[in-house]
Amino acid sequence: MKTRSSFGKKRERAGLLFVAPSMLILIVFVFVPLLISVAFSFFKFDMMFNNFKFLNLDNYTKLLSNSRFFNALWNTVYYTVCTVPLNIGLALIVAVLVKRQSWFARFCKSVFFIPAVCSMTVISIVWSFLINKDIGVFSYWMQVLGFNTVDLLNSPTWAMPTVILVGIWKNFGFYMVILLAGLNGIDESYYEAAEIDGASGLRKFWGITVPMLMPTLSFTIVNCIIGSFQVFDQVYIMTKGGPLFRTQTLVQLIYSTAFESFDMGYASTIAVALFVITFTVSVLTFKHLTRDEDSLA
Amino acid sequence: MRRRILSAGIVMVLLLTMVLSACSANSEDTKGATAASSSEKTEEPSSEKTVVTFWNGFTGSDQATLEALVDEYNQTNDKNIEVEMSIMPWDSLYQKLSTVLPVGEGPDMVAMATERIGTYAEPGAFVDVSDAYTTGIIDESVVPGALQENLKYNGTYYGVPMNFATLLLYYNKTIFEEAGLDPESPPTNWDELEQYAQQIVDNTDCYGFDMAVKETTPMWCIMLWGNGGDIIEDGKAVFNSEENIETITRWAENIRDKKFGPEVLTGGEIDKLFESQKLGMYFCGPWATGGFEDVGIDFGVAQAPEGPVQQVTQANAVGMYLTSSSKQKEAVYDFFSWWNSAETQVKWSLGTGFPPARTDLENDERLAENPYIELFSKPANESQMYLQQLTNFAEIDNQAIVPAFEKILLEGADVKTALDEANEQIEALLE
Repeated sequence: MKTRSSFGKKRERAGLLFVAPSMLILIVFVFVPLLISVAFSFFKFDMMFNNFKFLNLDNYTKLLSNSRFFNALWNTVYYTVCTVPLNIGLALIVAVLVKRQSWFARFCKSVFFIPAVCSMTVISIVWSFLINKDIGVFSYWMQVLGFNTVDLLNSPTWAMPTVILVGIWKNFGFYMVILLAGLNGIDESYYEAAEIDGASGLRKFWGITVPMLMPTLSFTIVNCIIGSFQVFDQVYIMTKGGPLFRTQTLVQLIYSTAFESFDMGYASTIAVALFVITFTVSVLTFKHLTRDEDSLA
Repeated sequence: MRRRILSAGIVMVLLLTMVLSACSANSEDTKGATAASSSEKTEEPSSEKTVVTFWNGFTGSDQATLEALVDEYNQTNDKNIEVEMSIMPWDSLYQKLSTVLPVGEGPDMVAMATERIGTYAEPGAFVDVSDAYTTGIIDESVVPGALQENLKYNGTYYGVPMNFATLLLYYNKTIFEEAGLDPESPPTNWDELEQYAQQIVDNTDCYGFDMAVKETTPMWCIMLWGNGGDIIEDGKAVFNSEENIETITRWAENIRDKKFGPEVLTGGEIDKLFESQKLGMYFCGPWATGGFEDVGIDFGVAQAPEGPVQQVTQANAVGMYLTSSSKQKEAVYDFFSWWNSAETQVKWSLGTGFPPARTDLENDERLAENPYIELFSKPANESQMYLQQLTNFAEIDNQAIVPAFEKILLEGADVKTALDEANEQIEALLE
């Protein structure tokens, strides 16, 4: 008994030491700014951080009656609802297809992963040029094939789908790699047993692959949701929130409020709202997905 | 047991390395800006160089001229002042400033468009420089009229001139010929402009004429002013005036319905369109001449076509400002004075094609070397500046004016309704 508890305490101390550097970084760069942001959300002050004025809950009432906030929230939800299923779905299908060991599969793995490690800024700039109606290569090919070209980024209907497409193009490789790791963890014997019973490819996929992959899938889905709620880079580069604020997402709104209107207090309020929304959605999704897993086991 | 000590030891070393590198990174940051100066210091240990930091956004073809001039100042000034310049894209500049100015780590001098003075002067990020004018460091009598008022905020001087530019009508002579137009006679009024653009659209597969709507030096205002309208007058919003409705209806039809050009473009996009020789005519400033010449475009520049009420064009200016972070006011003033001297202005003009920011150089024969200077200087007295003297210029532009144009051009919205809505927003923002 005695040896067990002192042994356990030593392991605990070693564990804490290992975690300490990361915890320090998290506290200094994440938790402290978070708390300061929450504090700021109750004030109004100018660019030079002077003239602090305590506003009680005024910033929050302003938020709840501001159409621009709800527009940004709707755009962000639109983005997330489209991106998450498409991103994860595509990543899953591709992961299943490149699971084999052929050189082509390995080549595909690398190619699909490369956008994930590139800078989103660079990718957004390049895509903006490619799809430009007048001087873009894609538009040129469309014209050669006899189609009419559309100014995608200035179209109130097509701007958001374009931004979504670029987001998926960049990120699905990252999720593919994670799902691949999860797939490799599924025991082959399950598939063999199913084959003996005469199960088709699709049946094997839905009956074995997806349920066994649930832990990894839940992680990637929640990760994708959080990332989608915070979309900013490609919006800022490609459309700056336009046209007519149709692609203005919550982070883009925060940026514009903070660095265009220099109202840091209200920007902090929106940021706090974003945090609450993202946190709630992530926790609920995770609980829902992992509860399913338990019922399966 | 030994393994445990070893692991703990490795962790402590890693932790220590991180902490130390974080600390040194901090001190490196504050020293980084003056790293060049400290190396200068070791070269000349006996002298006390005053280093003045200067941030601006001249990333275009004028960057080379600017850097050469600043080098010249550093070599020739007798007060041992060294100007350390950081050039970055304008929107990076604005973002960086908002993080460094509040903590006093900003540059000594910064240059930016005069319409932004209010945004920085109001909270005290820029310092009052009236004494530069009263003590003759800047000769007030030779500052262009359109510029003088706009270097002030609430009647006090906050900036000194850096450059002054006007927009002219650039036109592609090759496209003119292809369309059957005389390449040496650009349009002189709105009717001719419409005719020529229509001819280009009919006879070639290029666009005729267009104006950028967002992220650009303002172009639509030239049409608004040409018909006697304006956006803000005497502190009141007049965006939805009868004249403006008429102007915008006419030109929106031209661009959107008669397909003179793509509906909504950014400044960068319209420049690229002209550069790839797909656009016949558009408004632009002197900064583009070098680039277009390098690409081999056969183009000309003409005065802005006369509108029904007046011939007018847009003037824009960049000023230099002393920031609240600076402790080197005298050194900064010395550079201000040198930059605005006649000799420097002549060199700056010749190198960039910008008109000089001094009114007494109009007939200076040295300027004849660059023919664009005379053309761009000509409308100095018939030009207006856009949305000056405000503290929230960016908000008004981005949240009221640009969306109004987008609604009209992209969605075919009724002009009067869109302008009424925008006008209300401008009124709200002006309070």
